[in-house]
Amino acid sequence: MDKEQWFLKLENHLQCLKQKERQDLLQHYTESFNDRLESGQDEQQIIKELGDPESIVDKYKNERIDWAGINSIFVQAHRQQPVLFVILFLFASPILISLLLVFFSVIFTVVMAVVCVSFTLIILFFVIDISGFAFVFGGFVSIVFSIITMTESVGAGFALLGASIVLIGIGVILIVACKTTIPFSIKFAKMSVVRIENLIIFIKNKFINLFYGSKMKGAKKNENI
Amino acid sequence: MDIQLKKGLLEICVLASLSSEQSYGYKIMTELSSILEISESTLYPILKRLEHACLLSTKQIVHNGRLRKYYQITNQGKQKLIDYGKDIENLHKVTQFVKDKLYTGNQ
Repeated sequence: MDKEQWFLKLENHLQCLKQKERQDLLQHYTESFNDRLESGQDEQQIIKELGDPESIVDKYKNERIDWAGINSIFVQAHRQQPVLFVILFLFASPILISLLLVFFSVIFTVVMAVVCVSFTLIILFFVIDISGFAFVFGGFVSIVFSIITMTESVGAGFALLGASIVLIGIGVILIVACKTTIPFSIKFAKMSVVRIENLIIFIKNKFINLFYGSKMKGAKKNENI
Repeated sequence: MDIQLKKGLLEICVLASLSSEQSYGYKIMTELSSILEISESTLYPILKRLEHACLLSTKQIVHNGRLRKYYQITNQGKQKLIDYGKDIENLHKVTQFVKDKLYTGNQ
């Protein structure tokens, strides 16, 4: 660890303190570091002597109760989570209920749209697949008719034969195309379901973090006292 | 040394080191470390507590292109030192009493 990393770590652990206190502590240790460098110590030596940033901050937080008082720590907890206040405030107002309704109906609509699209695609491809078979079948029937027609008019018979082969060709193309795209559309449908599941889990976690995460943080602060 | 005792003694030591002239963090640190085992993480809260109790005051002075925080003892701080000075005789008695008891106890 070098000087910059050490101070970054220190700063990270100071995030829960008020800005003035944070700056004061940082200034003190910056000064101390520079004074020690000036007096000839090297970086690693100083880092070893000063110790672990986390324990420095913990020690300070325990001591500051003497002059800052226990209550100021709870003020910290609230300051640190203004989001919680916003949510509490919203709960108090009826707006939240309508907002939630709108939010969830939008989600529901999106979900339904995705499900419908994927099912439509699947049905579409099945239809094309079936029509492909119809083309092939029709083509073969047409060949039979073309041979019959040849007995009356060879030219017409051959024309019909050609047309039947084209029909069969189109049918084959359609079938082959569907064979490759149907798995794709099924995969698409599955993926959409998975994505929707992930989204729901993500939202659930965010809510849990906001409520229970902060409750746990509050409990931790109590232990420190 | 017992933590509470150490903290109390360190406070007096800090005030004593500032009694004749102003000083800064690292200088106080080096001066005190020859008397008691002390770490930076112990000294800083003590300085803050003394400042909060108005026993010392601070000011920023430029040194080598950076700002350095200098600590000065206040009148209240000086009074605290004087009070401690009056207690030194009592402290001597306490220490001697405990020493004697320990000595006779060991016998």
